[in-house]
Amino acid sequence: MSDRIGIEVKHVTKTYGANKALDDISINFQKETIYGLLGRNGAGKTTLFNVITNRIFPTSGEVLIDGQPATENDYAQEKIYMMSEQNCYPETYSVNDVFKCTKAFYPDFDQEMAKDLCKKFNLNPKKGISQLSTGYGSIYKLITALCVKADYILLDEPVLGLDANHRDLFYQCLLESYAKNPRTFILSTHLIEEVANLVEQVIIIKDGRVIRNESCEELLSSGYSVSGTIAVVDEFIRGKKVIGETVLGGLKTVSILGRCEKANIPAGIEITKLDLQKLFIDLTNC
Amino acid sequence: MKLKKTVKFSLSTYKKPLFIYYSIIIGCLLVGLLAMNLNTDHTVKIGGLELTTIIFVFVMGLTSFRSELYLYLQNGISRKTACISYFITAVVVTLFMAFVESMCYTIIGKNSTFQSAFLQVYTEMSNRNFLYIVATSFLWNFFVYFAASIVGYCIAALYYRMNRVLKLSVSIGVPVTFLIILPLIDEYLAKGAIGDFAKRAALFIVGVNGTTYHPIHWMIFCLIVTLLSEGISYRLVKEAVIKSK
Repeated sequence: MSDRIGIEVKHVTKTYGANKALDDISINFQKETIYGLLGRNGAGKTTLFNVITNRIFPTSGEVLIDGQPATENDYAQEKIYMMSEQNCYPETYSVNDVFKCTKAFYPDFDQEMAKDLCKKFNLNPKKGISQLSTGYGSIYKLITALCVKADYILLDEPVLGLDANHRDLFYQCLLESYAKNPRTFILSTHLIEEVANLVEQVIIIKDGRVIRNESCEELLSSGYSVSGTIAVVDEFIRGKKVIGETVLGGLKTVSILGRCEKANIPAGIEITKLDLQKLFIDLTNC
Repeated sequence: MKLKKTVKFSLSTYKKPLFIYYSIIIGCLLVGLLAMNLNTDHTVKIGGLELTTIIFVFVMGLTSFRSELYLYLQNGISRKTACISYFITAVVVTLFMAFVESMCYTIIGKNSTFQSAFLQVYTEMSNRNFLYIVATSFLWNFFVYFAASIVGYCIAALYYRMNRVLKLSVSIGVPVTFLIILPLIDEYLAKGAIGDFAKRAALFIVGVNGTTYHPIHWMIFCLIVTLLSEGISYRLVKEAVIKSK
């Protein structure tokens, strides 16, 4: 088995009654890579995270972590830490209690770093977690996740409720942590534009299925954007694979999959690179 | 399995509640003993504090289930480990409580009219020697406390796994059955036979037969209840999932 294989999700399906939350998903999350897991609301991102971290059981399929089954396996699960929207700690806990508890189960948890990050984010670690606002409720969780030295860190909506300053600070801290201690981060977020420069590999989930799994660079160079007047654009896109279009006044912008032959570009057409958020919207709309 | 870590962590969470609990018990004992000493016509009696411990450990089981399951799953601990860890923690905590209480209540009982629950049930045993009373009451207390803590955990696990309809049916059905339906059946159909049987069964389980006492009956009964509850809990916890809000 390759040293680069980390988390293997093999033909995982998860159904809730008649609803298929995950539909025969197979993904390999490699070591020391930052992944962006993108999908619309209800696409199956959180369900996938919950299956990987043994919080729920798959209906079929299996998950392996460094070759070991992930389900009900303490030794496999100690390599993973998940930051989720849901609070799994007693309501009476303070932020410090959460750190102490995490240290008990992840001995490499960096308490000094946690203290520093609390100062940077202006979070009082003595405060009760039930007293925190939505934003600070996310902050104490993401601080905990950044300070755990597990091989795989899953972040489910890490910037939920964070203002722009805190989001920017989080991305900086994430990159610093990754540079200091390279490991796999899997971020699930709706703020695609913000993470576009952060993530190396993008996985897009739609209706429980993976529709894209490639590097960010490959994904963005898999197509291009065309804009111009409606008539000129319509003529240009004939026979091409269009995945989305927007019309504003007399101007039309179209996203196309495929290589752009620069020699055949007519006058009045502007070609630009694909934007990750726009590409995501177009891929998940069609 | 990471039992050592989880048991160590779990035990650390009981230090504060045990401290608070015994502070209250000591306070109640002091007030009670003072009242007994000041009362010259001996109408004031205290005893049976083991009942409060049974309630304490039962509630410990009830509240531990969900909070520990979620906390352990958050920190990469499997359900199997979480469940077994609770059983081990409950053994340690109830052994400690049984030991402390059997020693203290026996000593206090020898020097005052305080009577432990054990001696209130098995009255003639107060004539036995000190070590025998301590040892037997220690085991008696331990088995009942351990059973109470596991039953609490099992009930919490049952409720967690039930859907809303089932929860309502059990919450209403069980008390109505035992408090209304059974007594009515006993009164009008069975002509008191159910009540008589229940009384005889209770005396047999407790181990009281006239003036002969067999505390071992109660210990065996508690052990059976414990093993059944542990088996049911383990089965329920094995398939429990974190519920999304």
